[in-house]
Amino acid sequence: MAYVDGELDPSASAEVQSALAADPELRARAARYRALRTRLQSAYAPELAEPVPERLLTVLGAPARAAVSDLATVRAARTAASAARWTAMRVTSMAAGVLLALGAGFFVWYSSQSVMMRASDGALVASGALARSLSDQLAGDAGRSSITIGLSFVAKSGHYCRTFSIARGAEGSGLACRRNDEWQIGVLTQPQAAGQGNESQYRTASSGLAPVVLSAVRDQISGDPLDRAAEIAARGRDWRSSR
Amino acid sequence: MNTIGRSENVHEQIAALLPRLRRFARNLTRNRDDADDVVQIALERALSKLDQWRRDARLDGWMFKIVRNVWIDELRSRGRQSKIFLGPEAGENVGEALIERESELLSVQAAMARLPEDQRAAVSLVLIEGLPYKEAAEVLEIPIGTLTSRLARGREALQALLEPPPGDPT
Repeated sequence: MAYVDGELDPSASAEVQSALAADPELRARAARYRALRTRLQSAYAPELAEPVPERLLTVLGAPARAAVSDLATVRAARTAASAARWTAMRVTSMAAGVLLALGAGFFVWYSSQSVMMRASDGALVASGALARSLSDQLAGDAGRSSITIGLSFVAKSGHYCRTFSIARGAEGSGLACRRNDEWQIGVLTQPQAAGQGNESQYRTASSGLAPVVLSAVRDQISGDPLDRAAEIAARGRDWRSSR
Repeated sequence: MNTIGRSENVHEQIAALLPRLRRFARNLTRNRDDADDVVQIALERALSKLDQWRRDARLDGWMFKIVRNVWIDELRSRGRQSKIFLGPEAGENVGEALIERESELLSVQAAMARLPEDQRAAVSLVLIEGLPYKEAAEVLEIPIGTLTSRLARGREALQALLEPPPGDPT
């Protein structure tokens, strides 16, 4: 058993191997055990792909820490790691603090894009360049900044929502909806250093939208995405809900 | 300074462990809702004592241990309240939740659910979560010899449940 589990040192392992070579019954037992191991692992592998409930992610953001006090250190640690691995985080109305606490990457993002988001009333809202792009840029246009708007649509709630991607320096993508004259960020993804996570389904090109953003769009969209004329009209109303 | 940066990094690492923590908790509790409750409490507990985590220790082992301790505490408090925890319905819950899986996979989960708690935890940590014996023994706070004997008994029980009665071992 220890042999199959890889627990033996090389010399003991070699002894077992010669014993196995000499003894068919032992070989059969080892094979049987190995098969059980494989069977268990494949039976339980699908559970790793299940989405983690929001409440668990929320806990991870909960501790009250002196959050943004040490950006320089975090940034230095961060620059080394920019693999195209995505961690998806859903932003709830309570979750602005979650994002602040969740990862070093977010701090860097937060700061390196001259503060593109801020917390407002417990929600995360766009500010700075991101807010300007969301309000002014038409979908598909390359703005002055590194921000691209993917598509715009009216959500089932009646609000205008737009997807965005940030290309340079601090890649990420997300979904923002216009509420109370602010762009509330409903979904946000960021690239994360390759780790032992299991988010391989988020491994996408560093441009474009993460699957989690697209699925949020599918969940929320009412009708079709806005065409260019509808976007211009909506922009003319400062994206205020038509209801 | 540094500690803040590192602890944020630990948050990320813990977030990456969540799928495995949930899976382990499900194997302990045999109930998906209980499992997520246990993980949630374990996360809270872990964050409140992150300073006790030795940097040279494996984070997954440390987290698994907290998950298990939370579950033990829960069982104790349920035991005080009443004796009705972990009735036969607990195992059925697992089956229900997995009803859309292939029947072979369902039988693996069902077989696991029938193991005694100590064997199930050992099998879960070593065979499913892939911890080395030493780490698994630390999680369960038992000597390695105890771990391997639980593992051996768990393995035999699973084989008996999952494999047809042994004919000739060709």
